[in-house]
Amino acid sequence: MDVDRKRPDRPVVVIGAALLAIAAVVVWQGFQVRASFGSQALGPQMMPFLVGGFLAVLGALTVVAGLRGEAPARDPDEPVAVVWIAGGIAAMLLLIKTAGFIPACAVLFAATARAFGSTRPAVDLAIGAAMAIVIFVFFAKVLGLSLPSGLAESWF
Amino acid sequence: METLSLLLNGLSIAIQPANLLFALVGVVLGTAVGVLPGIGPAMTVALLLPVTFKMDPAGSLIMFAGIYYGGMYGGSTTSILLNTPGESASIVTAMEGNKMARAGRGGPALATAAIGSFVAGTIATALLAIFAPWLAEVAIAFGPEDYFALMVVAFITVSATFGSSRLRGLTSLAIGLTLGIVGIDKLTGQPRLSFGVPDLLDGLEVTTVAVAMFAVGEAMAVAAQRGKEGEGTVEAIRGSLWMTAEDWRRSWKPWLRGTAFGFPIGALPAGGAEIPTFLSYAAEKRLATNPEEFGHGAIEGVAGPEAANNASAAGTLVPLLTLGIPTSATAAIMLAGFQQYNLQPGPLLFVTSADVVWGLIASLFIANVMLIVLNLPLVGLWVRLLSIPRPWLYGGILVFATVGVLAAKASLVELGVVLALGLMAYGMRRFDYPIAPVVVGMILGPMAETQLRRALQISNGDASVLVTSPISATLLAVAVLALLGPMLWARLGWSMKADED
Repeated sequence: MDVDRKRPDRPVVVIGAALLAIAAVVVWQGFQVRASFGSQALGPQMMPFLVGGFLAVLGALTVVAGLRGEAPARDPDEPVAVVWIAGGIAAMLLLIKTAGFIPACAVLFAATARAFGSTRPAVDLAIGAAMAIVIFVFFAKVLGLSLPSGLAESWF
Repeated sequence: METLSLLLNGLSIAIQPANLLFALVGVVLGTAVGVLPGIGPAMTVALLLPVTFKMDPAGSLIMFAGIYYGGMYGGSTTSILLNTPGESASIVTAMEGNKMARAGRGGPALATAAIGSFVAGTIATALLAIFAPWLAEVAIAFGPEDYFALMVVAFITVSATFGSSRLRGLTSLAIGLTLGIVGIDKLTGQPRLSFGVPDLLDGLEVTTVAVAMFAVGEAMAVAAQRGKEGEGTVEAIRGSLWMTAEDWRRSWKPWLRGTAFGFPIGALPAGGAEIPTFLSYAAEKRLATNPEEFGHGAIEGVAGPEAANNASAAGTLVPLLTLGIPTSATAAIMLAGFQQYNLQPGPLLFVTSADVVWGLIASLFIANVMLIVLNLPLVGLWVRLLSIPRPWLYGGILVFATVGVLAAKASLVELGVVLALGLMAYGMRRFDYPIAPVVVGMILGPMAETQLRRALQISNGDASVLVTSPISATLLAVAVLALLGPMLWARLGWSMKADED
């Protein structure tokens, strides 16, 4: 049996450890819940304890699977593309209440297009902005739903 | 025939102009997202939840069901012409369908997929109309402990029984259950897992989680793999869209067999439309008089699986409407759609909201007719969607998705949650963790908790009610079997392998 043993898969061990950490947070938060009446164990604390315990078991099993190298093989990938998309959402988060909804959407559109290999950021920004204007007008004027907005929308 | 008169009453609701319009919008959107890669029916329904919040329940539910059916039709077009399935339920279709398109038989491949979808969708919707009221009557006797046990069965089968790994499937489920805990406890008003952030007290929005899990996670995963498999070329539609007599002769049995696989598997809490498509493909290959043609464009390999995935969509609606149990990600999000109108799917829905339920079922027949018109004569229009450059397509999807999140709740905290969960969803795809159990766990988890606590309150905390109720005990036994069955099987296989050594 030991002959078959593959090398430990470090990322999978990390996933298992992360699951154990989440389990700890869920159980700890379960202890923080205080109901003023009724049985605690059968009340709001039960689900966090059950799910936390479940997560802990799965985390431990994942660590074991990682140490045994039992995870499926993965293709190498380009983390740069992931960073572009995550960066686009983060930029939107920062821009939406300052520069405004329309520039924020344009930046997210252009960053995503860049992640997919587009090389014309100016064109992407323009398309993203045009799309955002249509969406904003539709939501604000037709549906009457309010979207978070900033400087750019103050001109509407 | 009581069912028939209820169905006729439903038909009178479904043919109201507004509801016809909702059905049309639904099937058009559904076909579009089915054709386009990177966006599917589950996320589309989630994005529409905030927009439809103020609309008439019957109309928006008709639209959601149209999206679900339409996604199954549209997915086949992409599979056949591009060899990149638009939906996971169309993976099998690509195997034979794309070969047919390359051999100049794209027209008949599209035709057998669309007509097969129509035949299967119509038969399966009729079965839905027959079985749903019957099941609802059985389910009226269910107590809270029975519901809890039923939900446990759904959890296990969706996450563990059919996936590539029980450990990873259950882990996805546990993450979904954790997300479901966030917010104020419904029974006692206590905040849980909110970390003092006021925006989290209402719990996570379904739209937020769906966008992170599907749109963001998928865009990241596809972008990171870009260039590895090549862009793929869209085959022109060659060959007449009319099937020859030979094509019809070879297609009709696979359609019916595909329906026979799809409907029951969709209706059991056994998760997803992929399984019946694989079973149907395997069955057609075994029954074929010309098995050597499989892998080179056999029409049976398109007809069967396409019928199976449409039949399973109708089958999924049986447990959703009668028991309130979703067995796929789309069904889970539709359940959230019912809840936003304070409609609780379950046996009582057939009594309290008969108009909504029967209007919905009747409109599915109409949606099927609309879909075959949209997908055969107009197929050329849909193909043009595939010529949108990928950078703009995904850019547009992400903009729409994030706007949908903000429309559901105009809070930047939600956007931060999208970023965090989106990165997690990318990691899950990378490490082969399934996504559907997260969505099902998040939506069904709080309901399971409510039922369990109700059952334990009635029994004064005696957990043995779960095994003393015969229905609950049987269902829990099924759950254990669904969890351990594959393991025993694997162990037997493993020991046999050891003997060979």
